[in-house]
Amino acid sequence: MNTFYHILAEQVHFWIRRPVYYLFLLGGFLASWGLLVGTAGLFDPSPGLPPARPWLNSPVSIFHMAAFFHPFLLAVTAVIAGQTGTRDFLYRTHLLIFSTPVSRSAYLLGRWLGSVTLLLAIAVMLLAGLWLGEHTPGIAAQQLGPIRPQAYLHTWFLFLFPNLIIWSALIFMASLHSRSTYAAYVLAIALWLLRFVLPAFSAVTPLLSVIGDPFGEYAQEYLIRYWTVEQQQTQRLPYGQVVCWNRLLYLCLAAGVFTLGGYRFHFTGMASPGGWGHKFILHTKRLENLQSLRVQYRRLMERLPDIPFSTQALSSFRFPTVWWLAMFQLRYLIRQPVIHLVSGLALLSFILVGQRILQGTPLIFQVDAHLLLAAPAALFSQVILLLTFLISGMLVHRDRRSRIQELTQLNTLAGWQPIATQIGVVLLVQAVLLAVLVGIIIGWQTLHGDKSPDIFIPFIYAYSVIWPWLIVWGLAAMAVHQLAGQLYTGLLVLLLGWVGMNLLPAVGFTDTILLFPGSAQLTLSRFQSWSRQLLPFLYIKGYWLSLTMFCLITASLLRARHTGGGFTERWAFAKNRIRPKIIFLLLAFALLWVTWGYAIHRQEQDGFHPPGPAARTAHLQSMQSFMDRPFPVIRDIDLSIDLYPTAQAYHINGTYRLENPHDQPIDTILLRGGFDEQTSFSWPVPARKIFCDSLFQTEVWVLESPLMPAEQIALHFAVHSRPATYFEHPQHVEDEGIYLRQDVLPRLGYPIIDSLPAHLGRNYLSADADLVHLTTTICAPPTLQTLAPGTKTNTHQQEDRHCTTFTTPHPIKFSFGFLAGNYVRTTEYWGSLPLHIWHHPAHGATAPILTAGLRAALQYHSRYFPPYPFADASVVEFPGTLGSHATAYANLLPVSERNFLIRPDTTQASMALPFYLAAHELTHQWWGNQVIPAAEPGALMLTESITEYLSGQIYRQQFGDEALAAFMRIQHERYFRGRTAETGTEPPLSQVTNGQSYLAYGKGSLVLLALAGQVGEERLNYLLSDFLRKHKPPNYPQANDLVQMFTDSLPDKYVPFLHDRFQTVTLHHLAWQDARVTRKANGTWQISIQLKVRAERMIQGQWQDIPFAEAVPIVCYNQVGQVLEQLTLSHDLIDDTLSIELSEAPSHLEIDPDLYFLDPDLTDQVIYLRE
Amino acid sequence: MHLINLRKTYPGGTVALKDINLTIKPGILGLLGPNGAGKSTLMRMMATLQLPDTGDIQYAGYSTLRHPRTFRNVLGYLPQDFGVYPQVSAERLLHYLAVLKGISSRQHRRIRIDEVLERVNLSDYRKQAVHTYSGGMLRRFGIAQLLLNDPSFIIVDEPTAGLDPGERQHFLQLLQSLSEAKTIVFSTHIVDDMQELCTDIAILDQGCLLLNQTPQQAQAELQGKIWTWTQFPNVCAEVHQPGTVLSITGGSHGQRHLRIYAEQPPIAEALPSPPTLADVYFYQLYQNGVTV
Repeated sequence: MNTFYHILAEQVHFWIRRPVYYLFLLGGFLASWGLLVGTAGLFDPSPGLPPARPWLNSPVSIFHMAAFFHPFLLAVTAVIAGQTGTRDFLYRTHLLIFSTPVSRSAYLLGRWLGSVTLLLAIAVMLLAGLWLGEHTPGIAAQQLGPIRPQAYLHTWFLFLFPNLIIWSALIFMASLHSRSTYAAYVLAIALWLLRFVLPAFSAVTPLLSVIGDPFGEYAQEYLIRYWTVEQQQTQRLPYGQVVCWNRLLYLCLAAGVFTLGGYRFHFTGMASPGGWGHKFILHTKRLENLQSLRVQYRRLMERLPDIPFSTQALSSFRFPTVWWLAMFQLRYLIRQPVIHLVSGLALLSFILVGQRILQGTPLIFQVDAHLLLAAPAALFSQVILLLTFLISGMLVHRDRRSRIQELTQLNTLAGWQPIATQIGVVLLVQAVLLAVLVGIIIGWQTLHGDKSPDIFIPFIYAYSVIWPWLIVWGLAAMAVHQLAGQLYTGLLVLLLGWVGMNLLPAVGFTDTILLFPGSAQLTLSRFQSWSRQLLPFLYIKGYWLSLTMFCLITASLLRARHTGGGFTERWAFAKNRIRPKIIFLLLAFALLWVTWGYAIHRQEQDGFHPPGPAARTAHLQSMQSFMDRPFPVIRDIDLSIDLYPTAQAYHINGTYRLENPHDQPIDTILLRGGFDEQTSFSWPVPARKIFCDSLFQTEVWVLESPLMPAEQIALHFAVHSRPATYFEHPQHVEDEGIYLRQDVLPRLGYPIIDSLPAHLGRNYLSADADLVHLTTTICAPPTLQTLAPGTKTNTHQQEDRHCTTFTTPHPIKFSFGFLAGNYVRTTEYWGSLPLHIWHHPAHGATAPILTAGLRAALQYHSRYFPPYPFADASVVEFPGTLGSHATAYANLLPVSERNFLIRPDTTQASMALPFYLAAHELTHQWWGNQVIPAAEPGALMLTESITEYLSGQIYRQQFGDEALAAFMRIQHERYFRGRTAETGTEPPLSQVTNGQSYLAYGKGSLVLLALAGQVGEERLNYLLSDFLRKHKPPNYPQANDLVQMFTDSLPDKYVPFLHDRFQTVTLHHLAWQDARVTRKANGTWQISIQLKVRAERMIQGQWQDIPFAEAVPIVCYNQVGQVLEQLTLSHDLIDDTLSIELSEAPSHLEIDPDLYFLDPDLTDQVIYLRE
Repeated sequence: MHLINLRKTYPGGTVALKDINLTIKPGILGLLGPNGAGKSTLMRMMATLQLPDTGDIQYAGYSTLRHPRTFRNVLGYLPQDFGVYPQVSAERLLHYLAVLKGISSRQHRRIRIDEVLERVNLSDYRKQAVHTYSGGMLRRFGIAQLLLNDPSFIIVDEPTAGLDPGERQHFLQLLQSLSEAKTIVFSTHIVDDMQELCTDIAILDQGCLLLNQTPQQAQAELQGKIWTWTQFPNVCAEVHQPGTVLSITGGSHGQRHLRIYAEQPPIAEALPSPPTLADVYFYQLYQNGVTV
């Protein structure tokens, strides 16, 4: 026992003498403290910071914040536990220690528990930082809730503490038996990657990713996945089954590995050369084959050629020397198993994550370069970054670790050459791995039958976006390792820096010049030239490159030498080595960095800055006096739009024909321009401006002669886009794609529609217009096609520009867009109605499925609703950098480029997203354009809920019942996941407001589909049709009007359902209690079942149980999944045990497969029968 | 090479070198001193691997501290203890070290490597991984690498430590053969090595330079002052003159052979003996306050 204690104490003592340990204690503490207080706005105390929902010190928040540091803790574990396992071999003390009478258990447990003690101290400091954070003065009270120690205890005992035990045990044994600290890093990277690839198997085994997560986070998230904000703030975190299983699984794994590893550990065996791997090889029967392989491998390495170079031309640069040295170092690297293992892990994770993205259950995509370049490539590049940290350290510390530095430092090379060699090798490894990435993307496309795989995009992205980012970090890694005395010190500093950089935006640091690049991601668009997209990105990389060069030169002067690492010694060497050339370089890079940074900062300052909350509040207060003043409405709009894509600018000259719809004169008119534009106004009659707010583009004019009731007047305006800077440009304009929306145009009256008095209200979109006639003339370079709502009525040339005029055949709502691009048009027909798809020339593969969606929607709606009101329908692609959505403006349906990248497998019935988008947006021609809701809560129910319901029916019609079932599962997830982000109080569906799309889309579609299931699809659709015909503009209905119509038109038995689903927030909980099957003597099967059902409703802010008063549908299946019986269990029979008799052997039962009820938990609705 | 007022103090207060002034002429300088005397520190400074706190090192008219790369062109250094890259053959590692020493031409390197391997008798083992070499072979490899650039200034730090007698002899012969037109500085604990090789010796102790002379000069100073006496067990001798016991070696049957420094015979039975370098060494240490 005494020996054990001393070994443990010595292990702790070894580390606490090292300053780097305190760096991580303090670093962890400050990082966690900074995360909490930064999120609470301590570093950016803008007035009006919204309250934190959930509270930053709620149990859920504490758990999430602690979990944020899991990768950091894993990295620290790799270092401390890894070094613990190899320390005696590293310092060659094993021959002394292993020849003493120390017991195996004392040695192993003492060492391991010593490392655990050190790690737990770091974890304690993390939690201490959070705890201090919530006690830091200056944080607004609304950011925090009651202080609860339970939050920390739960996170500590269920996650931090067991994770450190598990990881340290695994890593300690791996490094001990391999005698290599690299094994520790590989294992840490593998554990980190495991949590990203596990979801790839979720289609096979849904709970695998939950239980298999080595961090335990997925298990906890699974249990709280549907928790509302209220629950997140107040409830203790559960530790239900999946959490326990996860913890138990990994604790058993760690215990098993530790026990087995300890059993196989012998002092005698470990004293001989070679690690466990070596002994394993010696003891296998395949020794000869393995040795043969090793010999062949070595011969292959030996045969790696010296690259011949003519030295004549380059001799003055000594490049051949650098190249030769680089090849020498490269040979060393590529023979390290750790390089192959980490690279292999990176590639494997890329493939698995990519497969998951592409399968996108239930969406199915063809292999697409853009999708693979998003999350999968981001993960891959992060692993290359970790590899960069590692190989930089391996190269820098190689000589010291091999104890050959006294020979190699006696070189006659110029000071820059050894460093240039190492940098060159690092960059070469990065470039090769990126080439593999590009190759996999191209190969993947080809393997899946793509005859023209996208080569250009992956190549450009890999070497113009990812590689510059890696280069910057590579140089930073070299600098850090030059200064670090040990490989692990450098690695930890880099990892801490990497975590810290990713933390900065979260705590309020958003200036570009402060954000060392945390990740390499860029949204690319075919509608923008490569130079426009990449140059600003590379410009910023250049800024950081100059800093890292400065740091690298400084670090190389102060680098650790063989004589130890004292700063005095290093400073003496640095002073000795400093030369005018080096001083010049340092000054040059410093100056470059400062100048570059200043230029970036100036550009950002000149760019657009949205006003803050305080300014908004002050502005609205100043508008209060105009809130109840009547203002005219817009009847006609005449626009002349000039597009200048090269300059990334546009100009609009326009005229509104205004009319006074009120019974009183109007002399004071409030006008608002867009934030991102510069707008000026003029009147054809005498008028004076009495108020101007240039920040919010607001002006108040007084007409000398008031506008009388029913009188009309013209308002002229000019809109100019704000000047583009190098980093920012107007958000509507790219080089070859433009998408302007109505929000660039001026508006009338108080800005907040919901706050207007009732007599001033109009519809949910605009208070200053009903339906308007729109005439648009767009002039653009002849290479661009231009599109606006309506029909093309005229084209003409204006100098070197091409102008097209569009006129709406009838008034439309004040919601429109204007697009221009280098389009190809694909046209098909539905009857005589042309269906156009305007797309980029490279994005034609999606056109057929979009057309199919339009056609299916037209086919469906023509059975129930009035005819489609326009002469054509056009889906128009807009640049992906301007948004990822789709919408509908009269006969134009703009769809984001990102949706054109999805090329679904059209041979399969699948949740084809483009089909859905086209059908959904076209449906808005009726619901949102022919029915325009009033400016009241519930408006989205009349637009989005009905549209989503109808899209589901169209989907079922096209792809069958299974596709609809998948659609409904998505909506179910959408609703219940959306509830977790609801920071207000969830209203009933008929009161849904803006920003509650989870309710409008998710719950709305489920409820209407359930209603259709009850009353019949035809009946429901005809009711909707009646409603539509009765509520054409300017009749603006409310959601309750529709509910009332349902109530009036449908039998009384549906009234509870209507009230429950539309006018309350009610949830249901249905679960199996028991289900057994018995074979009867007559050969039939009898099932007895017991259900558990419950309903709860939000009443005055509290959840209360209510009587469960609805029948429950149950379906019985056989072994092959065929339906044997469907029955509806009346609510008054539910508490009894019931019997069902069947003629065929049943397998399992399912409650409510059609999601009639709103039950968050669907996992307990299937039960397999027991005898 | 001129070492001028070299001084070095390590963190913690240990003074490794105290104002060392030394001129090294062509030939072989043997550096002698007990453990911790400062030999390795001094050698690392000469090899441009460490900087003194004060002082300078001049070679051929320039400061090696200010122009280390220039000096390294003519330097060959073999440290007392060094490692090698695992899984790398001797030939490849020599190629690497040759490149570092500025031999950029592959052909030139090849020729040079053949020569040095031949010289140290390792040609047959050139393809073998260096980390599998025996101690003696590793030392020879060390010599091979230092000869790559045909240095005119060679520093070897305790080259014969741990070698068997045969290897040691061979190594010394190798050093002897190298000494033509070169300056060699080598440190050792084994005084006999110096006897055979050195044209000059320098004795260090506790950071101070105690002696810098040719072996002959040093020995000559002790001529007539070294006495030997064999002490038998349980026999006392009458001391006539004061003297200093420089060394004691054991003999058979409990006898002890003493070597004594004294101006006159210290004991009647003491016999005069020609002074050896060991006598010189121990005498200097005694003068510096170190007792045997």
